[in-house]
Amino acid sequence: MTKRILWIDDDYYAIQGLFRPIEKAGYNIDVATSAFDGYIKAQNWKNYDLIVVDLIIPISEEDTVPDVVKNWEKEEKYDCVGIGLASWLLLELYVTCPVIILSVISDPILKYKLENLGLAGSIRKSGLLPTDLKNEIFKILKSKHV
Amino acid sequence: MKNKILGFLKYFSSTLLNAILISLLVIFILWMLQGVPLFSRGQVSLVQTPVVAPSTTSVTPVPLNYNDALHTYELVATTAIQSSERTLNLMVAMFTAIIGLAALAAGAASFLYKTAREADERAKSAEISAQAAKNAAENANQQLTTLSKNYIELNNRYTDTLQNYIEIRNKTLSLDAAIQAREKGEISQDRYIEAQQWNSWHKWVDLSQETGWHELKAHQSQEIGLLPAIRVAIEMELARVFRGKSDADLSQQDKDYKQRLVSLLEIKFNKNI
Repeated sequence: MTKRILWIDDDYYAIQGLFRPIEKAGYNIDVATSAFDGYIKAQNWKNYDLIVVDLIIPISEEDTVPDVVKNWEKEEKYDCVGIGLASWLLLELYVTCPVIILSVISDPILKYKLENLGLAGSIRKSGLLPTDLKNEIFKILKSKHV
Repeated sequence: MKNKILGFLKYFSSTLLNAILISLLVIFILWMLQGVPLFSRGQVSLVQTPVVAPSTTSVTPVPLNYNDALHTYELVATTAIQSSERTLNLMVAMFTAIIGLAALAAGAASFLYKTAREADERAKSAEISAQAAKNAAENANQQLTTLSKNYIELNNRYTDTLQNYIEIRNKTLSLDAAIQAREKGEISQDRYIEAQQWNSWHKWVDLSQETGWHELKAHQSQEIGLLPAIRVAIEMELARVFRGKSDADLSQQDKDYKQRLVSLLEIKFNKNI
């Protein structure tokens, strides 16, 4: 059975080359380019083997955004919607598939806090190469026995 | 030259008139004190009339003898000579005084004329200097204005050129292309990160996406920080949008945009990294 990854990142079409080695390895990438889009697709989290969240993502361009998603924008310290989304996935949706952060932000304190919430890992996007991403993701999946 | 002569004559005639008036005053005083015989007051008579006693009955003529005639002649001649000498002396004194005063007047006039001419020349010289200074100042101001215009024009051209260069460079190397190029070792790690930063810049500035701004802030806090090309782009954006505008002229939105751009130029390192 083909494994699936939900990738929530507004930059997908600019950086899809990052996931090319993983796709070649047999994974399907399902893309959400906004928090609201991710919120909708994550409702079916059981269909995914891994959820990748970018911390810096827009809420949505649509008007019909539920309050729970709008509140993610009110993160005071980091002003990053992805933090709210990751927290929601782990604390409210109780996803059991691994959730990882892929972002330019690499604050170790934030990383520590999110890991305490159940985050499987975080990968720094700055200067990241496709092979490195593939290796990191495979290492996380292996550690989670996926 | 004609003006100089007229000027001199003006001063000379004025001073000479004064001298003549002073001379006349002197003569009048001398006449009052010494009895100068220019205007006879009756002290000296050139003709001695024989005294004839009034008679009601008959007139007896008194014949003058030779001695009396000689005496009378001598008296008349002496008086005439003395009068002539006095007149001559007075005339000499008067002419001497007039000539002296005229010379003095000429000297004074010459001095005054010279002084006035020098003052005039100095005034003219000062005026010429002032005019020259004014011309120089106007010329310098004009040159400064021209230079300023040239500078602004050159700066605008430089900004436009650089902006075009930045845009072309950004378009030439898309982020996905940079990923592939870096994977193959065709570009350096810095160049790859620069492409990532360009992508964030493009999102924020060109597409007005807030996520681009947050990504740039995140890049700024990395060890490598914002790379020089991005920093130049920020400076050029500041120059392009805000040159010649004071903060008072800016809307709140513009102020926020400017503040964000300026904050990106700060050197920040995340010590926790």
